[in-house]
Amino acid sequence: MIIGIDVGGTFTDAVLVDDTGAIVSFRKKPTSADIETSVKALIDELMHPMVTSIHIGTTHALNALLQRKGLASVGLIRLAGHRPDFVPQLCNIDVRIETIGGGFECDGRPITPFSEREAKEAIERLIAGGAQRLAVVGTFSSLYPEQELAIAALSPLPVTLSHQLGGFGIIERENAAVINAALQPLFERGFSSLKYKNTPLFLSQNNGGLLPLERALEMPVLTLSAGPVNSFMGASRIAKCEDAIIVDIGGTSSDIGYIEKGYVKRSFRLSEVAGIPLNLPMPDLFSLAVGGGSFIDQGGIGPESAGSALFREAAAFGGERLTLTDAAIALGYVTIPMANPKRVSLSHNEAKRFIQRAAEKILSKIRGHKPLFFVGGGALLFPEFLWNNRGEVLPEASVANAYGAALAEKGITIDKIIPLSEQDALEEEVLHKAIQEGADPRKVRVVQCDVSPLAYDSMKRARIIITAMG
Amino acid sequence: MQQLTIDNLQAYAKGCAILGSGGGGDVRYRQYLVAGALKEYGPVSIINEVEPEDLIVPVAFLGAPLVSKEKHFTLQSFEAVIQRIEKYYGKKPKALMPAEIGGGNGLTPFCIAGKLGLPVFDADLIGRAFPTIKMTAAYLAGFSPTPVFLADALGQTVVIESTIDSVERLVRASAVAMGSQCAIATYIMKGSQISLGSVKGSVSGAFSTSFHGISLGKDIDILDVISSIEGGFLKGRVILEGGIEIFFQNEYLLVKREGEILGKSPDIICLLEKGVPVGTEELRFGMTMDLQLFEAPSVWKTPHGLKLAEEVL
Repeated sequence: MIIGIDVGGTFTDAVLVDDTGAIVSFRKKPTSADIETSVKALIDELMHPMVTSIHIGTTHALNALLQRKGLASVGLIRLAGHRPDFVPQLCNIDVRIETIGGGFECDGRPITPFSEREAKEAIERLIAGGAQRLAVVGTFSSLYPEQELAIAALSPLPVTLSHQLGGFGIIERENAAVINAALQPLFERGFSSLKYKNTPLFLSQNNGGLLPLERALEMPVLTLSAGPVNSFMGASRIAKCEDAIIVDIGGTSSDIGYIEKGYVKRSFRLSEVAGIPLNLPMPDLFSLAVGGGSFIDQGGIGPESAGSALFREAAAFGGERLTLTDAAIALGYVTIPMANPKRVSLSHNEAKRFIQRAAEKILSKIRGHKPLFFVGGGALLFPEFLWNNRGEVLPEASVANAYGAALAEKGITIDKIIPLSEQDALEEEVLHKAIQEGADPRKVRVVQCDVSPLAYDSMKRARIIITAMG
Repeated sequence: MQQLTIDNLQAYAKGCAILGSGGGGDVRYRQYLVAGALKEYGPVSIINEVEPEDLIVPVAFLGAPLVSKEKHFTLQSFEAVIQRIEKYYGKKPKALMPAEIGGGNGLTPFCIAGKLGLPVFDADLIGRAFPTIKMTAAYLAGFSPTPVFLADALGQTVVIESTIDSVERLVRASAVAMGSQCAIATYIMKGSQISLGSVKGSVSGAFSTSFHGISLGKDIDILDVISSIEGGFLKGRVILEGGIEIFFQNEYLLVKREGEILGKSPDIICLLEKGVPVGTEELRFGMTMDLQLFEAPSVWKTPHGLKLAEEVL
């Protein structure tokens, strides 16, 4: 048996799933400020002697980044002997930067020699300046990582090395390293005390697989989009449909995602998270500011939302503002304890227009003709006839995230630039590493592999993003 | 007088990306650098009048896309190029201009203009992006690309004086030796030659390029991308909904619907995702695109122009 948990900004959901994949029971609690109190309480309530592992999906990293809250001060070392001009730092968080000699040309020559002394002095200056964590990015370090590794060996502080996050393009790789370093202490505070007796604990990651807790504490950036990924995967498993479009309607927004052959479709354009350009493999996701808590007025729907204050601010609960939930309550589409439809000052036609318009907005952003499923708390506000007879609201809609986490497999993604002739060797490597990360050797297999050849490259190299799970 | 500022940079960069026709190198990275330069040195003037004896220097940042996304640009490289030019001609340049308006190099002169204290002349050599040094309005007008001035990131220079047939080979070999990336100045012209040897107005025109396209399709999904690397070029075709097929070699070259030609190089074919031009390297199955066609500058519509443009087809 497995316990799956989804730690959201407002609520934490947990499900107990048996070996056939059936939900045995589920629980919900408001997310506590320290995270661990609510998670521990839910684990205690659901714990069963047959539980073999606990899987946690969280939007903790994403929320912290969106609000720029609880992040560490980062010292960044750039290995770039050519001393480039105007190099932007786009994370918009507290970062001190030191540029030192070194870095590599594309053919493997150092741009200028790397000096350990120069690196040591840079580390000392960064620490003296208040850096709590270090990040290192080297020119062409994804091909030649040795200088980054040398700096890690010199530092008294934990260091994030950009080449370990892969990602091509030095600006995006630097950003991934910087925000990873900035998120580490937050993750340690939230999750390191969760080590639960003898039951192994895993966190879900962007690729839909699981990371052992210790690895997740080192690499929190890999969990940034775990929330929507879990809900898309959970929904497809609940619906028993391996090629589907999933819409997760939450309180503030609706996320639209695509499942292909049982896995979440990835985006290949540059991904931007919290305004920060990244080049990590991320789900192809469209987020629309329409949710159950969206305020409604003459101006339309949203983007402002009552969020977690819905049950205080919404008119049906005695509040002052009208939300999409109020419209659904007035129409009798949904009944919620404590809600009074009479407090909603909308005519039947007005209420209907808002709900219809919200459904139309969501439908207009859906591409393709695969089966369509709705999950998330907000999905319950919409009767199925509003989806033009093509969408289905899943019965376990509100626990799809936790269920997705419970069913996730252990896995790993490698993102590398290699000569095309070495692709087979990389497949071996990813299978081997997945097993190291806890994948079942009998089930482990390559589930996604994307090859992008580099233009103008005499060595016929390609960026290969490969994921194995089991 | 027109200026490039932080506020209109985005519109200009988008125009350059469209004129890149899917190639011409990454615009986004260059845009970051220009933003940095504008913050440090202030807006850059765009001029359209010079004296007959003034020296105008078309510049570009040459390199494999792989390299320009890793190894950032240095001012030092262009300062070295300009110093070398001053020594060669015995006078200071009056203005810079983009060698190629399409793609990242439309932005290149604006990275360095502030530091060098030079304005940018409202013209370029091509009016779009093309992959070889020969494929320019200047060459069509009978000008020679040489002497070509190159510098690596550390400011080490090479000057190439050769026949037209050797230029491409010598420049490529030098660029590889410089780490597959260098600053370059070519087709350096006098004010008296500029009307003949350039596509005038292309810099100011780029600000409003995005309004001049003809739509060939909206919200169409990519069904397949077939590509390979041949002779150092990314070659292939992309198949979209509605029987649309686009052939590319670094740039988009030809678009057909059910076998009928809708547009072809030298006209500029552009695929956009959510309003952002998408390069040939970035195409993937499942992306939702808008397809637009932009007319090529008239110099490419002459018999000579069409013949030279066909060298890529």
